[in-house]
Amino acid sequence: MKTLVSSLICVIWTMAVAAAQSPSPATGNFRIMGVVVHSLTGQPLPGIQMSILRAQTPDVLQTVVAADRGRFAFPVSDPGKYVLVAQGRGFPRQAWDEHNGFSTAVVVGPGKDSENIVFRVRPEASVSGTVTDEANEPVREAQVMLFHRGVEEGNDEIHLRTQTSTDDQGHYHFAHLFSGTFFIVVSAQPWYAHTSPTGPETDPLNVTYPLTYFSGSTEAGGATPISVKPGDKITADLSLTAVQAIRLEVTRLMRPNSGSAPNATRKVFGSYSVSASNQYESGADGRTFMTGLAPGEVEISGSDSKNPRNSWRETLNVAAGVKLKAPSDHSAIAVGGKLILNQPKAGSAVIILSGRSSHERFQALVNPDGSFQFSGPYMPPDTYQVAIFYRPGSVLASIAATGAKVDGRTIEVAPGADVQLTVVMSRGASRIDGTVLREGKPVAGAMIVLLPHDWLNNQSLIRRDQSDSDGTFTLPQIPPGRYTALALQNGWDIDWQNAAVLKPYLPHAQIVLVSPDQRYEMKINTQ
Amino acid sequence: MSSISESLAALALGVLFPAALLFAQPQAAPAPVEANQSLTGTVVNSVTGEPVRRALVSFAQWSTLTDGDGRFEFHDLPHLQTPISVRKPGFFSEQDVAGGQLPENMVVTSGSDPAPIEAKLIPEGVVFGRVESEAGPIEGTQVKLLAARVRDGERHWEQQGFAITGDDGSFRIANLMPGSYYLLLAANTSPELSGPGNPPKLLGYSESYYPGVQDTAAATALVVAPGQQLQADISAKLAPVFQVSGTVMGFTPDSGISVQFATDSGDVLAFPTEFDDNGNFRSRLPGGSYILMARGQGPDNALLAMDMPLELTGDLRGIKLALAPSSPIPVNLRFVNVARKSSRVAIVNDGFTPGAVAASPASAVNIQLESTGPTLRPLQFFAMRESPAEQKLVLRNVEAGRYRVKVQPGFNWYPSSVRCGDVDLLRDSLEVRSGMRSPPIEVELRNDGANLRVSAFSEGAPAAGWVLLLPLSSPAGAQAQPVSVGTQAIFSNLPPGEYSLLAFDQIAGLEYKELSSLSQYLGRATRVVLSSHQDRETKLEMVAREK
Repeated sequence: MKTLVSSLICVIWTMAVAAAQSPSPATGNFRIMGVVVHSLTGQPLPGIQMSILRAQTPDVLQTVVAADRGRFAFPVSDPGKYVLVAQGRGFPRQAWDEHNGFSTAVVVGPGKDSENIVFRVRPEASVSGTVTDEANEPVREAQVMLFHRGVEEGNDEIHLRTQTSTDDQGHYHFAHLFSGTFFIVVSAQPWYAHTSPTGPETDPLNVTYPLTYFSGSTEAGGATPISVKPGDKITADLSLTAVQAIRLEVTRLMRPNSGSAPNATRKVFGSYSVSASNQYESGADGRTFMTGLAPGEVEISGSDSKNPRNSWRETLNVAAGVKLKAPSDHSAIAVGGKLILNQPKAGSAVIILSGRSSHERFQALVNPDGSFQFSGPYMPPDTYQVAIFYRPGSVLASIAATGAKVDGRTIEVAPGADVQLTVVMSRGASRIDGTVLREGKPVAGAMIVLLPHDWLNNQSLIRRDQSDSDGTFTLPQIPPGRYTALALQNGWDIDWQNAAVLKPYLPHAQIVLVSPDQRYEMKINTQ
Repeated sequence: MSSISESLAALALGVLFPAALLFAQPQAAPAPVEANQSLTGTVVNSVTGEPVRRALVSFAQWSTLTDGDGRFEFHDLPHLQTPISVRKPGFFSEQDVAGGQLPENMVVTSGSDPAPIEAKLIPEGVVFGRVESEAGPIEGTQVKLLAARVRDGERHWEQQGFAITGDDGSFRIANLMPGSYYLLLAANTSPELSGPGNPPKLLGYSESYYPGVQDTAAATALVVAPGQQLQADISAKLAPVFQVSGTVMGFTPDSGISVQFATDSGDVLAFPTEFDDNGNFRSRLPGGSYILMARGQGPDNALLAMDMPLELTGDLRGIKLALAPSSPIPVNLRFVNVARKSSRVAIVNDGFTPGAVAASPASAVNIQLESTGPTLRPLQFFAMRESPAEQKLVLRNVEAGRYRVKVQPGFNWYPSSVRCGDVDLLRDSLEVRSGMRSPPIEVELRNDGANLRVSAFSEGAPAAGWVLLLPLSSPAGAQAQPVSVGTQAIFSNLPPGEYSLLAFDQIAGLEYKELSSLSQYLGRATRVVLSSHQDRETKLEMVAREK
């Protein structure tokens, strides 16, 4: 069951879903019942607040407080699927057996066991600390980023989890974390930094802080992983050391009328970009500089709102005396196109391009006439996943392009290309309802993945779910095509997008051929 | 030609002279002869008197950090007289707390053996605390600090700080200037606040002020002294939450409709309202009074808006809101040319091109609406020109509310009458209602204004400060101009009529557009009657303001 504990999208579509619900086939006297225990110690946890929600809606139907020995019970009259949520002091709001937004729903009805639930509630952890400068004074308004290393969407990578900024005491706090491996990265500027396009570069106030990884390294490779276990309250203090800032002379970067001032960014863990400097200053002699840069590799980019192909980006290793002349990179691509809905447009639609190697995402709002144009920031040549954010019920049927090579739902774009995309949507989404079994018995909490043919190029077609208490699951919004279905008992930490990792599971996978507008039922064995 | 020369003269009088006064602070001296001058001093905490280490001291283009004893030194300087600036996070400069006015002791001179300077930094205030209900700390809720600030003689409530409570309900708002503040806890409701039940008792709390009252009148002001860290815990009273639902009509799918709720303070509630393509909305709110605001964009970027006041004491269903494009408010200008027979003022070369000045006087008129209503949602609208020379302007997409109409005529004109229907907008505010068409705003401008120059004295000696000019006919038209030793405060293009004049040593915080706040001084005011085209000079004795 996809758990929608606090999803914005769910709020928007709630009423449509509610209206489409058919009357309950039968009513009776059922109970959702069980005990709530500490996930680590197994100790019962009386006092935890337990709630049930109707699956796919945000409305809490009933709330009870767990009694002695952690027992809870809800009387329910309507059969169906219910999401069970627990929360308490030190235990953040969480659904039963929750993983990455999926959870096990409790299925209520004749012949369904909904009375022997053991809810292992996970205590939260936190990471907090203080950022100080070289004089041991607090650094205010430092950008503090929390990265998590682990499997998300089947990829084992380092992802930005969240970020915050320090308060007047230099303090930051990340609460409500579950266990895992985390990294803290800080980006800040000395408050007293005095950058200038003129004057000596060795001015003691012409300084900056390099990007700093806990516990003090300025290189991603030197970052100290923070291993967070349930219930941990970890302190990770950082001290920043100012270094001499570099002034990079840049010439002929701005295009008259439509160009914007250049911007320097730096990559964190090779993917997430943070600002390295946006100070673009002109000296009295007419020379222009980007000031306040720390040494090391930066990306400097400029955008052109009128012609995205004039946007540019240079990667260079900043050191004293380095100059950047007119950008040599003319590889920016321009993407525009048309969305064909085959039905009246209702509400807004957004086209999203995700670069496979750059990890960069771009989005364009579709105009009322269906046209769209990506404008502004530099778009590097890359292979892009094409996805669309539009109302449920329609699926991306096909894409065609001039100026790019289409493969599935990706476009491969060469340097400097001018791409015209045609994105065709259709209704005709199908749905699979199924049951996960092991030795003929239903299995709750298994991960189900539906992989399209060539999933690397069709990421937006991947469907996932978690089996509910009676082993059932639902995969919605499936465009026609050939798919591979897998059920993994302990699949949540497997980077299944990696073909080598997935290979041993494929012999026991099921092939599913999906036609338009169908509802399928399947049984699948867990591995 | 005479009208142009008068315009130029008026520009020079009205704009350049006060500007010159404001920037009459000593400028950098002529080119340095020798660069062997120095400047030294100490930065101290204004409250404790202790030295402040690592404060940034800047003098012209030179900057340095103070050492461990708060000392700074500049050497090899040219001979310069210029303001010195001092700053450090956690502190305000003397200029900051004086509302941007540069204190005279901050203008310093480098010398061969100068006396050390003492510069003060005023430590910031901090308000911190915890938001709790009977059920425990409340996380993720908004608290806002409101402060009354006097700008241009009028009191404005402004949001001065903002925080979101942490997982233990705590908040902290730093960087506060000395002054008094009200702490507002924004209305909230969330599943986390709900109590057990079938269906569960959905709870929330309405907007309240420290220490936990609904009404501003009952709220306790937090008086923050320099360097003070003030604890202010708020208790939120959990109360049932009611459902509000209905339908918005009169829009197309691309109108980008939003439905929001604003409280009495103008705070727009942060929690979500469900909204679907058919215009159905549903939200859950704690009891209280709200304005339901539906907004969208119609054809030609016209604002689609409808506001509906709600008093919520139970569930409210079936609300119908019909959106309509807001009606433009026309503004008609009428110029009454009462030209002076001969020009007695010299033409000043002010750098403006005669061509620009020769353009229609209508092109220089600015009309602005400023909301007088809720604190946290200040609104401003500017009248747009249909064409540069036209004597017709239009205010578009004005949201419902009460507004003060400000007319800035430019050149040597003054607004002699500003009316909308029966309302005299020189005295009263303009009310704009949702879905109602407003009559045009009729502005009459005349160019027979009087000019007044005022010098101020204290015990017979010229003195510096501010001169207040209070038109007897409309207190809202009060204005203030600075006066310094040996220069005059200058008021230009004044409507003929009777005025009161007062000179003060300082006017920071003085609500001079509110006559009652001047009552203790009015007995010492000087009355003047100004006639058409009159140029008049007068002298005033300075009134020392009680702090």
